[in-house]
Amino acid sequence: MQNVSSQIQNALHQASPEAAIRDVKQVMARELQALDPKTEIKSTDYFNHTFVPDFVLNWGAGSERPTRDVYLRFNIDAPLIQRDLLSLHEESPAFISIATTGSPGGQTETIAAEYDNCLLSSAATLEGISSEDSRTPVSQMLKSSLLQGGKGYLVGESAIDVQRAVSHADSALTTLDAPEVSATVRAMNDHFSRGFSARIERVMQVLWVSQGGDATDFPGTLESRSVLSPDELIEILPFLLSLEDISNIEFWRNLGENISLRLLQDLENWPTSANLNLLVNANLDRIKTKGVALDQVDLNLFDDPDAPPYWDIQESQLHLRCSEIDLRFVDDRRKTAHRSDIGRTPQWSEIESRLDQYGIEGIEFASPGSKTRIKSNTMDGLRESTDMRALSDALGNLARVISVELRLPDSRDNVEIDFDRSAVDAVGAALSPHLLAHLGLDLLYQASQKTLEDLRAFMTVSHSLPWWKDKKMKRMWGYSD
Amino acid sequence: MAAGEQQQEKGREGAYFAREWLESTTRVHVPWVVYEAEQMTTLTLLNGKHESWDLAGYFTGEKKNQFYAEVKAYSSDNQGPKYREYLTDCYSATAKMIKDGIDRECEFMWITWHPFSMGAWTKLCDAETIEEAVKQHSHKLGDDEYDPEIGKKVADRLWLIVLSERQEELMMNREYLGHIRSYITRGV
Repeated sequence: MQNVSSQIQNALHQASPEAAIRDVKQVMARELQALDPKTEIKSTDYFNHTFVPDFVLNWGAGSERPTRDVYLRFNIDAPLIQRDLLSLHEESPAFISIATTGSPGGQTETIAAEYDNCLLSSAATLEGISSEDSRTPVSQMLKSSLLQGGKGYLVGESAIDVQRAVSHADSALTTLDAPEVSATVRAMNDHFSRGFSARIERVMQVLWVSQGGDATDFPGTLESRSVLSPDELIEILPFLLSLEDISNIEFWRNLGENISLRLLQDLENWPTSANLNLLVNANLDRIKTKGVALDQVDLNLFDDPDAPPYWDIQESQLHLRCSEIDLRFVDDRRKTAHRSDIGRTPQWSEIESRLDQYGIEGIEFASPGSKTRIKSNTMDGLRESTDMRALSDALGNLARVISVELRLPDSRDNVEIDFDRSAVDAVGAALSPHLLAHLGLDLLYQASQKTLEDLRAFMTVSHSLPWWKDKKMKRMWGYSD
Repeated sequence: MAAGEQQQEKGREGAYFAREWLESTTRVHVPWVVYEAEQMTTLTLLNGKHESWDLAGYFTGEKKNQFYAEVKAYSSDNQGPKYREYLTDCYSATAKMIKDGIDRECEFMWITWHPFSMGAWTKLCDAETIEEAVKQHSHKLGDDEYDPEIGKKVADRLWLIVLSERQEELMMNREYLGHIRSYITRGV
C-alpha cells in the first residue's frame, strides 16, 4: 500500500481534473477516518475552496452534535495560510496540507500560535499518527481528539510528541511511568484545545489510580481526584461513547463510580454501541432503577430476532432491547403508573412453576366481578400459609393473576410483577436493572431459558462480571457458572 | 528581494487574490492555482506545446464549464503584446480540443489591475482581434490554418476583468460568507 502522499500525487496527475479531485478527497477521507473511525466525515462538493471546507466532521450522538470544518490545502506555509487563518479562524477549522511541505517554517508555527483554536497539519503527519497501531483507551482518545480538538502547528518534528503520546500513553499508565505520563500531558496541552486535554487528563488520572497509583502523584495539571464526578461524567461520557470500541471492561468500571440512571438519562438520545453496552453492563450495580416497563415491539424487516441484547437511550430513557421485547427503565414509578391493560394476565397454573423459586409476599387475582388481593403478614411469605392453587381454583376458571409481590432472598427488597401493566416495580429501594429485567422477561414474558441465559451472558459480558454470582442471585435463579 | 522576484511575488499574490475574489462571487470554484498544481492549469495547443494559465476552475450555475484565467497584477498598461499572445493561446487550445473531437467549451479570463490598449478596449474580446493576434503568433497553430468559426466561439468565451487593490473592501465580508458556508455545509 502506497503512503498517503504518493496516493495524493498519483491522484493529482490524472488527466481529468474532476477525477483528480474525487480521488484526492477519497484518499483524505480514508486518512481522516483511519484516525478516528467513529467521527462522521461528510465530504462537500468543494475542493481547496477559499471559504467552503472540503469536509465537515461530526461526532457524538446527542441532540447537538459538535462539528469541525476541514480545509484541504496544497500547502500550509506562510504567508498563504495567514489569509486563511484570518478569514476562517472563528469556526476553529483544521487546515490539512496535501502536498509534502518543503521547509517546515518557524514563521508558520508563529502564525499558528496566534490562532490557537485552529489546527494546521499535513496528510503525511496524520498518517504517521493514525498508523500507530494502538487500540487502547487513551490512544483512541488522543487520536480522535486530534481531529476534533487538535490545535496549532502539527507537522513533521512538531508532531513527534503527539505521536509518542499515542504510542506510549497507555503502557505508561499501566506501569505508572510518571515521566512518560507527564510527557503525554504536556503534548496534549500543547496540541489539543483545553476542553479535550482536560477530559483526557481526568480519564488518565482515574486510570492511574486504578493501577494503584496515588492520585496526588499523578503528573498532571488538574486538581488530583480519583473518581469522575457526575458533572464530569456528563461532560466526558459523550466523548468516550463516541470513540472507537473500547473493549476494556475495567476501563468502563473505573470510570463509572458515580454513574446513575439519571446521568444516563441526561445523554438524552444515544444509539446502541459496544461502548454504551460496556458502560452500562460494567456498572449495573451502580445504576438503580425504580421500575421497568416491558413492551413487545414489531421487528423491522431486517431485524435479527436472535440478535444479542443491547442498551440504548431514547428520549432520555434507558432502554434494553432483548429480541422483540423492549424494556424501559424509570427512576420514578409514576412514569409507568398510567399503563393499564397492556400485558397479558395469566392463570395461576401458567406461572406457578416459574414462581417456585421466588418468595411470594402478595398476590392479586381478578375474576369476573371480583378482585382478590392478599398479602403476607409474616416473614415467611404466602407460600407457607396459603394454597395459591386452591385459591385460584376457588375463584373459578376465569381467574387471572393481576400482580404478584416477590421478596428478593436475604434482603428487604421487594418487587411487584404487574401483569396488567406489563411492568416490574421496585417496592421500596431502587434496584439494579439486571434484576428487574430478568424478572420481567422470566415472569411477564415467560422467556425461554436460552433467552434468559443470553441476557445473563450479555450483562455479565460473557460471565466476566459478577452479576448473578452472589449468593442471593444464585439462590434466586439457581444459576451457577 | 530582487526586482524579478518582487514581480514574481506580486504575480503570486495577485493570482491568490483573484482566486479569492472569484470564489467570493459564489459563481465559480477555483481549485487550481498554477503554483500548486500546474498540470491542472495547463492546456495543449495545436502546435503540441503546453501552456499554463494562472488559475483554473468551474462555473457553478447551470453551465458547469471550465475556465482558465490569466492574472496580471500589473500597474502599467504595457499588456497589449502579452494579451495578444494570450488570445492566440486561447484560440489554439480551443481549436486543439475541437480537432481532438471534444470541445469542452472552456472559457478564458484575463484579469488585470490596469486597463490597456485603451483605443481598442471595447474590441479586445472580438473575433477580429483574436484573428489579428493569431496572425502575430501563427506558430502556435502548428500546421493548422485560422478558422473564423472557432474564432467566433472563442470570442464568446472570453472575459476581460479589471480588479483594483480596493476590490477587497467590496467583497462580501466574512460574516456573510460564513452564512453561505453554513448553508452549503449544514443546510442552515
